[in-house]
Amino acid sequence: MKFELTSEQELIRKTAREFAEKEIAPFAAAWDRNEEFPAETVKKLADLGFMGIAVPSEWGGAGMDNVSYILAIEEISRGCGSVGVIMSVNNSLACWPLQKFGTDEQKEKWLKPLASGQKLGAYCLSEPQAGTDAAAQKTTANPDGDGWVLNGTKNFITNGAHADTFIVFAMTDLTKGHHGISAFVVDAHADGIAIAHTEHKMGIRASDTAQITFDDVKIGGDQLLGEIKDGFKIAMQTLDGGRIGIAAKALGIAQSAIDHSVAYSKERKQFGREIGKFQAIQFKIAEMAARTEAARLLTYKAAAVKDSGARHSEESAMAKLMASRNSVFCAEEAVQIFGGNGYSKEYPVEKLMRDAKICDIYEGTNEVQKMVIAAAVMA
Amino acid sequence: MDFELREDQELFVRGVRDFARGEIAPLSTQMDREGLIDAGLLEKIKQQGFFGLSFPEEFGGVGLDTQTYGLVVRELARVDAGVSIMICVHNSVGSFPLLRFGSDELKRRILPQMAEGRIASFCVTEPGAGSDAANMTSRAERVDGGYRITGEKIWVTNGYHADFYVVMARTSDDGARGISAFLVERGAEGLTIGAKEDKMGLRSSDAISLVLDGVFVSEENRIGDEGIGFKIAMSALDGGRIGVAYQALGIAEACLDVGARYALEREQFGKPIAKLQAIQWQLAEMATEIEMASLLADKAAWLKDNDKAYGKHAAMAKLACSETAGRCADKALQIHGGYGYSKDYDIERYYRDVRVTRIYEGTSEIQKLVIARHVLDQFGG
Repeated sequence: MKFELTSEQELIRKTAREFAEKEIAPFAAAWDRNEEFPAETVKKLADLGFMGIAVPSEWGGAGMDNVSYILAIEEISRGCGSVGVIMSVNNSLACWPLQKFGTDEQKEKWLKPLASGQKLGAYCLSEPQAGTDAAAQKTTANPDGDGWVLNGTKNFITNGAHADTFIVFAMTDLTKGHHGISAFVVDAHADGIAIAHTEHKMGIRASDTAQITFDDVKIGGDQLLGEIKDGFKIAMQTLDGGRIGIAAKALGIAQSAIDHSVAYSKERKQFGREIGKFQAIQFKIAEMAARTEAARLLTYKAAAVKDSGARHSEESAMAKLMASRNSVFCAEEAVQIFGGNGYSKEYPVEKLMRDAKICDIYEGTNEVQKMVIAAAVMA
Repeated sequence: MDFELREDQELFVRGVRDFARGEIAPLSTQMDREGLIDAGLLEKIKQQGFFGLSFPEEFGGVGLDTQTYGLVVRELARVDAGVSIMICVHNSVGSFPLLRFGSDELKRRILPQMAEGRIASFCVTEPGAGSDAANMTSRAERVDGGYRITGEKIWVTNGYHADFYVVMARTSDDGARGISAFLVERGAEGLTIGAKEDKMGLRSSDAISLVLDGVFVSEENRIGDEGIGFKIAMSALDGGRIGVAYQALGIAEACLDVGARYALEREQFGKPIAKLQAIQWQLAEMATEIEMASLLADKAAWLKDNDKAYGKHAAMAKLACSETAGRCADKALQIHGGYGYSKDYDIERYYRDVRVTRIYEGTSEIQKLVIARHVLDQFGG
């Protein structure tokens, strides 16, 4: 075992950190207030190669490993969780399934623009009645000549209203349950696709979350991703990677909570001294730091296992479970350390608390992670 | 021991529940968005006598005992935590200093006005004096016929609407013993009401900053003797904390309500998620914690109603109820999954509203200090 980063990994972390400090953190509060998607910032991330970090360079990506990818998400999310998730969805949920299951033609046409950041991707799995029970898909893909016709409604689609490319899951055989699901790559601007509404959310308000309807959307036979009826497997394997991204996003929020707490407790005086001199505050910060380090190690390990090519469902689920819980814990403690000021929008920590909670929910709730972990442990 | 409510308590609480659901609930989302209580609703609340709940009948109030008052706060908070704190602050920390420490003349002049809906607020916190309230720097200088107060107060709940500001200010440099309490009336020269805080939650309730620039207060408007202001503030907060405990309980119950209801409606894996153990256990933990916390609140109220020392129990109740409510909001939101994160569902607001119950009227850390002091005192420490 060794715990140091390669010089390449150090470099990407430094680059991401500096970018987050200069280009993200100063604007995060305004994006949050206005529910503004940071389109210009996403373009700059693309210039850095951050929209396809672990995609080979021949397919438009930065050709780095997953540990590098995770380090970048963590640092970017330290500036703003919304930007972290915009990046994570494009990298993990749009690029990766194309890279893993796509044909060379599909990679040329769909992956290259996503990995290079010319286009933005989204992942359409959840439906109004199919959340944690993702297999209960009602969206259908019926054969139509050489291609397919899509009909259905997808829910809580991150990047949905801004995306150019969708990875869409749909039933090609309604009688087979989750064995009847297939995956498709779809042009988000195709006829028949509409944004039904975008969600007004508690947090990650710079990230757009849309409900999308598919009404007789005609797609070609060459838009099937992987084998027919392999969709559920593709969806789950994709989420195994996505969860590491969300874990990293949660780490960034937790670290930001620690950063702000340390700075505030050194500056804020009560009872004649800095509150950082009180054990009550010191122990909170110690607990935050220790739990964050533990969650970080789980997350980096999951990324390293993914880099090794081994299965990583259990590691990803553990990382996501612990990192997301820890982000909520740290953000709540930060608000507490800030006292009344923590409840005010003039200070940055109330946003951290609102942004953190979604980590417990998306790309599989904590309950789903426990199902995955229990299944692996008990197998 | 007797755990039942009296019939008059039941009746009173039922009336409040109907009012809260009929008149407040339909406006909550809008008030949260706009960051202010609805003007028509505020009028109705006045007419219904909510601003006189804890005031003795001789001053035109309803004269509720602490427990019944707490149950009322809980019912209000179950629907809208912001509205409940507005009523709480008025009925406890905003008026208790007068009721308990004011001169007869001051009480006769002011309390009936408060009881009929001229709103009270409580001004202790300053930019540099939060948990360390004794470190306040606002000063009241002696002048002919009274005092002139200069300083800044922040986080003044109800300040936007208030007619009366109970202001703590320094009359000498003798630490906590150098603080005195004053009643400042709206419109006083030199009194500037600052902007409303833009808060994460509890947005139907306002909190403002207050600047006092040589505000004249007559001798008659001093509450109690010089130098007992800190004692007045702390004893007002002992009672205030019981109110906040019940407020937190109301939010916790609202979380349990929507969590259980959603779990019964939402189907995944071919059945309501309420059939899954993972969800049942969340609900079971919420219900058990709420029951424990509410017994603590009821005991604190009982101690106060029976003229027994209640400071320790008020702190315990506030700590337990607010921490419980925070956990309930987290669990109930989790039960809602992605929908819980959307502003289309009430739980999203409860999650934001509940957070401040661990902060105001003494943070959880302050409650622990208070409890620890009582415990150590028992051992001669």
